[in-house]
Amino acid sequence: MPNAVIHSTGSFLPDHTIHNEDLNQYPATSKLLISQKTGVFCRHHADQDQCTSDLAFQAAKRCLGRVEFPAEKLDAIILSTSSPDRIQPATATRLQYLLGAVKAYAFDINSVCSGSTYGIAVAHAMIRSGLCANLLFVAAEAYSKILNPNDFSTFPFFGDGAGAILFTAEENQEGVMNSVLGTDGGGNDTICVPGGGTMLPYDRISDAKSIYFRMKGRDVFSFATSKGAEAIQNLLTQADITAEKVRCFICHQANVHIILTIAELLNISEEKFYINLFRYGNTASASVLIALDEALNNGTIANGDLVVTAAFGGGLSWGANLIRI
Amino acid sequence: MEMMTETIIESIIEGLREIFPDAVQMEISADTTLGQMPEWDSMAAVNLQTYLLQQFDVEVPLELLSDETTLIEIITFLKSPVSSQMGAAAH
Repeated sequence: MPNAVIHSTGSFLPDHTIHNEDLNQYPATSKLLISQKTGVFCRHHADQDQCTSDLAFQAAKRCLGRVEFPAEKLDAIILSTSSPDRIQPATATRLQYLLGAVKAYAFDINSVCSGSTYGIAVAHAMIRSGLCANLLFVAAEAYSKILNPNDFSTFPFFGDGAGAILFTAEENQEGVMNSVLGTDGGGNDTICVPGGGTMLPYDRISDAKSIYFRMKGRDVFSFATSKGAEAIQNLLTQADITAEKVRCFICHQANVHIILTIAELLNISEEKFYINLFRYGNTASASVLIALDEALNNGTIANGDLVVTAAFGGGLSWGANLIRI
Repeated sequence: MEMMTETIIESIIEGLREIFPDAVQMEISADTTLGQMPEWDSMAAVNLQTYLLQQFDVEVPLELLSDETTLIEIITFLKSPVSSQMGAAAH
């Protein structure tokens, strides 16, 4: 039975950077709170005419270009996004068109910030089942388009970006080894965009701000730390692997304090946790893939290393993957 | 003077309803504390601070926007000589 092995990665951050001191809509004294509360100093924003599939396309192009893999050879494209181009059709379909991946079928998944771990698990299952051999998984988000610029509890903490993984079916390599996924739908109001869907269609929206992303910060922190740690622990236990054997833990880059608390709860050195949110903010489901690509390129991880990816977010949802690079 | 206080409190209540959509049914008065607002936290405090700055041109210190602060205390600050050196909208 073939395994889903990482053949290449890529990532893309839009050119436009916004530093905390540039956020002039907030009182000067409050700007320091942004880095204190979350560790974010800077984020990238897509241009006005750039949408999610444009970011996805750039990350995918870099991923395929790195190993000169022709898009025509792709069997499948999965795009994780919670900030799609449009309600329909799937954002992945435009990515497929832009890439010229004529043979590939393409579809979206939306597990909000957990989308990276869900996508890796789905890619793994599809390749293991023999459904496809060459699968491109992209996570792309343009949250700057769905945030209220005046909302201090969301806007300063998020950024736009995309990451990509090319998975290929290989018989003699481990690749994705195990995944743990979980959902608590009772918390589906905790992180959401209330308006614009079928629950609150546009013609029934009385508060214009309903079309913006919102979250209950305190609830999210306790959920993310407990479920993030639990998912990693369950993943390692199921695979019968100790944390010492893992080279790097790549968690969703939501908040530095969440990541450090997870490290503490698991009694794992925080130095093993990759952190780049200082520069990019929370890029939702793209964050793990961007960090994975960065860690591979800067030598933090290399071929043969064991890596754990973990994410948590809207739904509420969470997940973790054990991967041999 | 009394009218001015009424106008300010109406504006603050409007801001609180904007910041806290879940408070749409809540009765808010001059004696309401910020801690009574659903989901009140330090981030929400900055949202209220931003709103007050935009409405009154006064940067209310975050220390004043605590759980126990009542709306009347905010109004007292907005009308105080300290705030008059920052902006004139509330005077």
